[in-house]
Amino acid sequence: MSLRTHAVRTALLPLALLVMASAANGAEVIRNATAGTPKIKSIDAIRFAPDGVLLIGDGPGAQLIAVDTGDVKAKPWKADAKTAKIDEKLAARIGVPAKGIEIRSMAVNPASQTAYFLIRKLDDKKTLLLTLDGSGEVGEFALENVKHVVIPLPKGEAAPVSRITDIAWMGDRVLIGAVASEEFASKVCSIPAPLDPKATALGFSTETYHVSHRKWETRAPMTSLVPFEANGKKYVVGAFACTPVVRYPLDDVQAGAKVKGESVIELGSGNQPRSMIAYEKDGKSFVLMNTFRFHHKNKPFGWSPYVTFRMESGLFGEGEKLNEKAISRLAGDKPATDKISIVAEYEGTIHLDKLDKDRALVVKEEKEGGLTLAALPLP
Amino acid sequence: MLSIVLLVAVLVAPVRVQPGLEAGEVTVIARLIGDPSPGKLSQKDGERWLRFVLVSETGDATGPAMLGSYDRRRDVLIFTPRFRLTAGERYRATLTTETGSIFAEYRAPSKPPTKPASVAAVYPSAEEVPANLLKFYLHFSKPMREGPALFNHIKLLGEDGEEVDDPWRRTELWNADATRLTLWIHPGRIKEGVNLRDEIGPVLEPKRRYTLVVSEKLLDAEGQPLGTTFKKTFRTSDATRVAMDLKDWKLTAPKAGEKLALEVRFPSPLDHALLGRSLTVLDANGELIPGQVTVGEQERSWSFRPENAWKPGQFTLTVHERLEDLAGNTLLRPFDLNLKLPARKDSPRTIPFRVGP
Repeated sequence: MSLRTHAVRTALLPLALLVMASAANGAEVIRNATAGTPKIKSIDAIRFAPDGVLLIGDGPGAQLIAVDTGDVKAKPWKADAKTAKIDEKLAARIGVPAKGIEIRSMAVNPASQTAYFLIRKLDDKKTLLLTLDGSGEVGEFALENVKHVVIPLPKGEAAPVSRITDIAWMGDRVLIGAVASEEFASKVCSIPAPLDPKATALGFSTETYHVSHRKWETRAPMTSLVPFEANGKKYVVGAFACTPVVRYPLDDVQAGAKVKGESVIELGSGNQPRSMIAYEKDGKSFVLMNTFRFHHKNKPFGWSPYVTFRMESGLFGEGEKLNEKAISRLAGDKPATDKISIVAEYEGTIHLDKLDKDRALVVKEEKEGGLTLAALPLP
Repeated sequence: MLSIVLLVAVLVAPVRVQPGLEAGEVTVIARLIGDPSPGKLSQKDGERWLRFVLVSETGDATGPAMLGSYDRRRDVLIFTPRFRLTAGERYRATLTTETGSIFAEYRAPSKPPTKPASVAAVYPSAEEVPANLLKFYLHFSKPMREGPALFNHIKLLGEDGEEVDDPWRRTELWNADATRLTLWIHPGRIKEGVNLRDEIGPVLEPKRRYTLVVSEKLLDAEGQPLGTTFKKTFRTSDATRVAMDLKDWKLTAPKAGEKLALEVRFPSPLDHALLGRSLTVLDANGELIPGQVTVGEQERSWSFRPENAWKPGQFTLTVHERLEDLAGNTLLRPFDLNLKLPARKDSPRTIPFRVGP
């Protein structure tokens, strides 16, 4: 691939990342919740909305379940909190050796700072939720007799969602990224807030533009989502398994529509994004993204295939010729602008979520082996 | 019944692990004198008296106590683990009282071996596929163990036996009972204009032979390896980068009064899973005709046998836009849409046919 080093425009358009610290304007997150045990086929993804509301994506069951956890009492973590062999610690609590579980996801409840781990027991395929709070206590969040709402996702015509890849609370809605196992497509569902059992999920497809040759357009499953606003318009920033970071407009999206995105950033070939968080530091807005580096063996960035990028959010808010600019963010395999950087302290990060305004909570692999849970300063 | 078990247990040992009726189910029974008070105990309070832990491979039993319910009944404390024990693993129950600690160990019985899983079918089944093949469907004879490690056990070998580097998109996509895996060739190495393809090349080159290898180490749901390596050899043709067109399909209509199948043949193989659910037959009123669908050999044909004998008249075969060929091209568009080429007219998505007397 020929490399281009276009100057990156420094004059950024107004941008406001949605901050999830509290329910916007005191608005309800869920409404008409009922107590009971939700019928869940399998949990693919978990994220938090404000007020301790846990969002659960059940792809095989084609549904979103929002659970009022009641977990709203803050249990802060120590400044340098660190737990070695977190997989062993979690697994042992349910009587399983570490090799018998998979940590599929981790979400931090912003209302309490408790970390929720989505665990798959490999021997019986059960998915369950374990919690770890700032005191170091591992518990289970049992999805039994909980206050919840269930919202079915659009099923299409016998073409159901197979797996939910990410969930994002947008302040006025929830967005869900999903893939199907047979069709190659990007499916996104939007559910208006407050989350109500009567709410209708709106489904749409996304398409994007390949930046490097500037002439190809394709569909692609979205693997992670983060919301943002620019110039009074709402967007979702999505990341793909093989292509750039893309922004999609959310205003005026209609059911069944195909929404075209604009590439914003090209992070180099083979970065498979896993999760993104938004934060502010020193008056600037950033997005932190951890990726699995495909082809790490032959083209490593470091010792681990798990790489974390920090991106200035201003890049997402630029107004013109985004597609053309996206590729200029890259020189070879590495960022060509100081608005994007690889964060060395986060090397090996497999799971990532925001802990508080200054820290992230990560599950990272160690060079010597094993998984560590650590609270790291936001870069 | 439980009372008798408890009485016997108390007489036998101060702390004891009692197997349940189902595999992996146990009850830990400990004899207590004095505190705590009868009734349910919280996890935290229960752990002060009785801890049931997994013993590591190195014999370490200092890990966290397992989650479960604690119930004090008369002079016994009963612990029931929240989750079933793992077959073959060792556990230790430790009772701590004012006079010291007593423990009992228990090994969960290993599961009796069952017939190992095997690869029952692989689609596409054709011996020749386009070089921009998008995915395989691997069907197994029994449910398999999920987890990203599986991608390390499925390989593609070139003609020289050399392994093709990083061919897969490492996103697990199983059906509900984990008997079918959708295995995507990494789209970034297929799509035009994506830097992954530009930098490290496509996974499959045209006019070559390859072998798909599923290692004998791949585990079934019970943790047993396949035991036998599976191999499927195929060759590649040129990449197919055009949208499908129904005018290339050949339809053979049945006669009225019979239950013979409507036959449709395609110029090249189509996606096996999508083919099974993307074609429907409607009568002149637009009503769905019920019947049985069969996907033909090498996914080059499709047949539809109606539940009831055909009536004379006009019918329509409708094709859903989700249907893909082996390279992800649909009726609406090729997998990669070249924006610099003139827009293509929408292909029809129906084929009318007549059933005559």
